[in-house]
Amino acid sequence: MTQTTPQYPFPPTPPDQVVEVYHRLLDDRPMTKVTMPFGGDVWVIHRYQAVKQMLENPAFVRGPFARGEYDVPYFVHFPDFLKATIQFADPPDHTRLRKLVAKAFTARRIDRLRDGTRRIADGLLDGMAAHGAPANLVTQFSLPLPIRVICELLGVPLDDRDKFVEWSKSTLATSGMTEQEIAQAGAELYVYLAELIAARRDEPRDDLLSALAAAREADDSLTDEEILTMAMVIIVGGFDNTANFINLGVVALLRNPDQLRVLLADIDGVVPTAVDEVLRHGHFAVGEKVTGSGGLPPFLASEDVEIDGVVIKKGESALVDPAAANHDPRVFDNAAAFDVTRTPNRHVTLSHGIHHCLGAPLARMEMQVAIGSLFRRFPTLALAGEPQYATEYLTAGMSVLPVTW
Amino acid sequence: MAFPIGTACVDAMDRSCTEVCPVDCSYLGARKLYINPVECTDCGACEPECPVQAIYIDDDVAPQDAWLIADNADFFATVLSGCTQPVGNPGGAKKRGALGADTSRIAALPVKEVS
Repeated sequence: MTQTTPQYPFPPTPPDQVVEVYHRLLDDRPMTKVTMPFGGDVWVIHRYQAVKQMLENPAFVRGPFARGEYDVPYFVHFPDFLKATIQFADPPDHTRLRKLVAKAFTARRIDRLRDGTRRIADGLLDGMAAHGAPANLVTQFSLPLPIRVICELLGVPLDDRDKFVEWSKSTLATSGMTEQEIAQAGAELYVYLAELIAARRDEPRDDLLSALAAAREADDSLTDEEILTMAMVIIVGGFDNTANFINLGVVALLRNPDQLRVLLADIDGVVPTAVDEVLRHGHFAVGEKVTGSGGLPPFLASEDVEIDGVVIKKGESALVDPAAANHDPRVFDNAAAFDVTRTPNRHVTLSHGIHHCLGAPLARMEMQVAIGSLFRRFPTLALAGEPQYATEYLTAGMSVLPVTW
Repeated sequence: MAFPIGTACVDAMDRSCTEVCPVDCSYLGARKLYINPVECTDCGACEPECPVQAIYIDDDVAPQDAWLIADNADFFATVLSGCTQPVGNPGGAKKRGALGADTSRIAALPVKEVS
């Protein structure tokens, strides 16, 4: 081999080259040990099968991060709030907490929310049409849609949504806010939800907060603290990521007109696979440079584990590099192509194993409705400027997406 | 907790659930899959994956499928046709392989036309 060893992390690289970079990396090794800007070293796992092996192995835990025994190695200072949630709990606590809410997010229950979500989308699109072009899709459509859906699911009064959106966003702030400001916003959200749950305990309604309020009676091992944190993580996880992926999908489709034509020819038939392709490859398909760094939140090895010939030692951390795994040629044919009809499409963007995204069926349904309804209403949708990103938040999604039609 | 797989799985056997199960506890019978209630960690990953919506992860089991909760447990606890001992809890469906047999009630169901 005359080629040099592929480097990881790598600097911003044009998307048509980045898949090639990843393929050389995947060919060379299953994982790379990286010193993160915060929290020290971590094994970044690139190969798809190695990713699945790690996520399926109960020796990889997060409790030591939650308890503060180890720092979270990550590309930003990891938000303290998330370390207190189910995302950082291990079995059996994780099992107990997940069971509490899993039934609200089954495919059957989520499918029942589809018609209501369509009505919300149509109402927002009416507003956009009345406002006239150009419009900021983020504030007029892709953010209010999941916020309204999660408000209705939980039973949060719509009048309060502006303040709770601000509080929720603050819990994911990684810069631009002081620790005191972040803690203050988190505390206000906490108090607000505590009052709402207390009200639902007295007067239950047909919503998730009422179900959470009632759960303590059914399982007395649950604490009020756990129930509140669960409500918070559902809110925090429930709109920001969804809005970001809706935006990403819209831009990816607008910048790949051949694929947009495939969608427009049969919106209902194609949108389910299109959404999963946005989840797999959207960051590449928007055409902007891709940086090789970071990934999903890390785990800690509680014993020595060998994966794909590499020993991850007890006390070392490991995280998933979904961009690499989602382009592993052993799993994805023609991985560089943005193909809205790709099937099967077993990407790991929403993780895998016991911590796979609880809201995955909800996120998919919302993305399908949002992207389907938007292009049905405005088939001539076009960009009216460059998207702007909110890099001060963990999820770093678009804050401005100017569109016209 | 048992996550029963409903009769929609019979003769369909898509097996997507086996791809997403983190503990590999969805076992292959001859005509249907069965989730091991001892090995299952209640994570719920399998439920939305099933293309025929056969998996129940909550108390929402359709009345006509309620008998499958016990049937599912029987698959592991009883001696299946052609076997000499119960399947038990082998700790992984892939290493155990297809069992090639079903519970007596599943085996007795009429064969479905599956496209």
